[in-house]
Amino acid sequence: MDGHRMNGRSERTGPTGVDDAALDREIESLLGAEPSPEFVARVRARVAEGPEPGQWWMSWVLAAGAVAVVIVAVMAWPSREPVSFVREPVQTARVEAVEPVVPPVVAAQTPARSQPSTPGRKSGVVAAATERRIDIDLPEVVIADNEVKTFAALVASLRQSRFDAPVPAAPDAVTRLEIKELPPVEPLEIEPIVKVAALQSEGERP
Amino acid sequence: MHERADRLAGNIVTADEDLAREFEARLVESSTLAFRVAFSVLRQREDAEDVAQEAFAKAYRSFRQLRERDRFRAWLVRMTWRMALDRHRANKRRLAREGVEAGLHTRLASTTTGDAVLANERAEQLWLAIDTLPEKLRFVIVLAGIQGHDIREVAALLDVPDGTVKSRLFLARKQLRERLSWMATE
Repeated sequence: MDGHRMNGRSERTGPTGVDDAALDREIESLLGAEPSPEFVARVRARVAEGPEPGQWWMSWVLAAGAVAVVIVAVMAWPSREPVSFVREPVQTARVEAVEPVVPPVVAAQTPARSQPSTPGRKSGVVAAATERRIDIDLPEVVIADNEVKTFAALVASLRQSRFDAPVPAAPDAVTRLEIKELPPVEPLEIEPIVKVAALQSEGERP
Repeated sequence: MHERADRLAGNIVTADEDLAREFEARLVESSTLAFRVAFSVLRQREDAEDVAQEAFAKAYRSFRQLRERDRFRAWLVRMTWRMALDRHRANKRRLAREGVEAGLHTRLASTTTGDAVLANERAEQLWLAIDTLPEKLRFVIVLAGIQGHDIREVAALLDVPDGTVKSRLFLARKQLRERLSWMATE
C-alpha cells in the first residue's frame, strides 16, 4: 500500500533456497489478479438494487414487535385454558326427549339407564345432544338407584304440577322451639391396659 | 412551516448524498482489495467478483456504522474472507455431488514453452502450500501479499495486535518453506 514491504520479514533462507523476500514476491504475484473493468460498475448496480443504508434497524424493530406480540399471546393463553367449553347435551333438551323417566343430570351420568327408550327416542336424544354440548370438568357423581327413582318421580310430579309432598312449615318466630330432654349417658369406664406378655414367664409363651 | 420542511428535506437529501459519496470513495479504493481477498480463496475470477459484490452490498446496508475508513476496510476484508470460504465450501460440495474432482486451483493459461510450464507448476505448488496452512496463518500471509500491506496494516485489517501478526507471519513463512521443500523433493 505505502510501498514498503513487511518490516517483520527476515532474510531467512529455507532448504529450497527460497528466502522470505522471494517467497513474498511469489505470493504477491499470485495475488496480483485484477478485477474486470466492469467490476465496480456491477457493484454499483448491485448496491442500487438493495435497501437504503440505515434501514437495517427497521427489521429489528419489526422483529422485536413480533416477539412482543408472541410473548403477550403466550402469557394470556393460560388464563383462558382452564375454561374449556366443549359442547355437551343440554339437560332441558334431553328431558324433553326422554321425559319423564330419567332426570337430566342423572341421564348425563348414567348413560346405561337412559337406553331403555325406543330407537326413535334415542335418535332424538342424540340429535338434541349434539346440538349443544357443554363439557364442564366436574368429578363423576355416583347416585344410588333409589335416589334416582325418587328424584325422577319428583321431577315428573313437578312437570305435571301435582307436587303434593309434605313440606314442613317454616318455624314461627313467636313460637318457641320445644327442646326434648336427652336421655342420660352413663359414664364411660375404661379398664387399665395390662401388659400380659410381661407378666407371663418365658416358658408359658406360646 | 413550508420553509422548515423544505430545509429538513434538503438536509436529508444532503445527508444521503454525503453517504453515497463516501461509499463511492470506499468502493473505489477497496474494490481491488475485496476482489483479491476473495480470489485468494476461490482462485476463480467470476466467483471472486461475485463474492466481492455481495460483500459490498452488505457493507452498504450497514454503511452508517462503517463510515470510518479503517473500520470499513477491516469489516469488508473479514466479511469477504468469510463469504469466500463459504462459497469455496459450497463449490466443493457441489463438485463432489456432481462427481467432479474438486480441483479449484487456478488453471493458468496453457502454454507450451518450458519456462511457462515451470512457472505454472511453481504457482500450483505455492497455492497448494498456502491451502494447507491453518486458516489464521493463511489469512495473514494472504493479506500481507495483497498490495504490499505491512504488519501494522494487516493488524488493523484483522483487528489484532502487531505482535500477533508478526508471529503468525513468521510461522506461515516457515511452514510454507517446509511444504515447498517437501514438494520439491517429491
